[in-house]
Amino acid sequence: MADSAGQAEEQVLELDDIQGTLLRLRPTPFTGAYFLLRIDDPDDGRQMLARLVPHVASATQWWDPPNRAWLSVALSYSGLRALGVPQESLDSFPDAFCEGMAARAERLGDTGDSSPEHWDAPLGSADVHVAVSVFAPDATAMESLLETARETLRDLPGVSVIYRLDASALPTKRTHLGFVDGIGEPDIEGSGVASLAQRMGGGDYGYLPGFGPTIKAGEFLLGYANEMGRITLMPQPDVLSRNGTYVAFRKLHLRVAEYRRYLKDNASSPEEEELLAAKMVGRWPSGAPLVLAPDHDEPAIATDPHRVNDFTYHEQDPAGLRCPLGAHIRRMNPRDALADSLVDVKLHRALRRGTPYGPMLPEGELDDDGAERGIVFIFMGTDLVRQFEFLKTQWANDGDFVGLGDEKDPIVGSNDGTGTFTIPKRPVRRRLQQLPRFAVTKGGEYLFMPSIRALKWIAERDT
Amino acid sequence: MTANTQTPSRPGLKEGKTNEFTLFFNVKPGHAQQIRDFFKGVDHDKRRVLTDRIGTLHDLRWVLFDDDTRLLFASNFDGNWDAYIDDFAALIPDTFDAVLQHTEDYPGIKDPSIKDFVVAHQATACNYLRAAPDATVKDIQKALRVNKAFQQLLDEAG
Repeated sequence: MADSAGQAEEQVLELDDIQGTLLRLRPTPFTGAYFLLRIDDPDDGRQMLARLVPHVASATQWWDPPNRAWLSVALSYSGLRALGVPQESLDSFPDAFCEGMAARAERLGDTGDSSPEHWDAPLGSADVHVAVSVFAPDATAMESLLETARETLRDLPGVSVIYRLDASALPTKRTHLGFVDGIGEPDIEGSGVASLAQRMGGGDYGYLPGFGPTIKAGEFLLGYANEMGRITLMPQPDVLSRNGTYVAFRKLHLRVAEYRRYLKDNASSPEEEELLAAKMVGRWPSGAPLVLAPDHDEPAIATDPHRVNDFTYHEQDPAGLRCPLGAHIRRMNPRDALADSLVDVKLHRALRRGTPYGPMLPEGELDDDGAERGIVFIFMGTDLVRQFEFLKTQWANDGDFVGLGDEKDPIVGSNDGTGTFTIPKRPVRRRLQQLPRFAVTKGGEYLFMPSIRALKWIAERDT
Repeated sequence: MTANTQTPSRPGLKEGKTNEFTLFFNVKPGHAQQIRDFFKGVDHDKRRVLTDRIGTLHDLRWVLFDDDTRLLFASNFDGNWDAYIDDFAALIPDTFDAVLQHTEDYPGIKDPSIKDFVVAHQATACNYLRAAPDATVKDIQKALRVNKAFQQLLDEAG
């Protein structure tokens, strides 16, 4: 409970220095793309950055960025090096970031089909230096910003675009698996929560039921106090790290046809298929949570910002009779579910952005058409190990924390066809068998998303 | 025959789902009695509630040795010890500080360098064997609950 003294000291964030994508959700619908760049010449790289910086959206201009489109920049460890950031500075970054996601694949469950040797080039390689994301509300605004981005590369042979992945909202405004997502976002102190639900409710700021507890800004931004009462280790110098954060970028291929067949094979009617899918996710396709709508989808709850997140587990559904203990949203944000365990859930929150890529599999289609489709998953936070990797290793790819043994997240877990999914039920629980892996990792990177001031600092360095 | 595995970049051996976790500390001169006194004052039942909440701790022991100059902490954990150390620091800091403040170089459980301190004091076992390597604390607790209910059912049926 925040006391009045705590409220009086409410954190003030330097919104004009923080990249917009960190604290603000993009408007929908949107069209977007991710670009990966390799820098072969540090001077050219810094020149490119200098040209790019004025176009990077801050958290203040988010709602009215130049050209109604916006751009974000993040750098890998090898990218910082390629840009000429000094060695003593590189050495001050945490090990996980320096090693990169590919080196930590095994602990993340990226094995078998998901292991780095099967990733899409150049993901996971030392060639990935700079990641740029570009988003706009429509194709015209997008093209205009892309033109600007192309200009930043003009006459710079030492910078190459080595990868492009288009990622846009689907016509349904849902994921490839048919769900509205991005609903349960943390309430970050001082940021002004701008969740999907709030925008559906017509406002961008303010507290809404179920978003709590408010999380210290230092969990998501370097340079501010975190939930452990201190400032997360800051890479040096401070100007480089302050107002920045780490990013886990993942390209996840979704096996949509297999997912649909699995539901069909384990259900006796379309209604039961939908219930099964909802049990796996923890919400209905509309976003209505199972704890509040246990028997059938209630879109009216999903569109009511005061209700869509206003639920608890320990209090309202301790045995998981509504939302199973192993459901995706209950794992990724357990709320009060672990109240009896020695776990501080505030230390393990994630800022997430999911963006679909690839064409939709036509509704009802049960055969794979071979198309590449999935989700670009973005995690942001100041501690890759305590946040992102903890979520993957303890909550997504294990079940022991809720007494489910080896059972993994049914949607994003590293399943291999031998796993189970337990649905609590009276008098007898139901257990689905032979759970396949629906989300296959096609690549990933640990990145550092610097503040706008830090981008300028890097760009202006002279080596 | 399977060998114990050592988790990359972490000390300690793993058998099945459980890790051995063995730490050696140098006791501050003359502080051994304070450690003994602390444990005399500990409420055993309260400690059990705590280990239940931790949910991954099979057992633990503290041993003063070498004429009270050294302290051993030996324990068995499901999963990796460092996954939850920040949670312990946030929720039960006193438990660790109460004992370890009497050892040399201890920075405090809330210090950012605590993980390095732990690793520096950890020694990896030469060999590690468990009777039921695949049973976690949670599994065992659940099995006991189920058995109790089952025996009750048999009692009532009889």
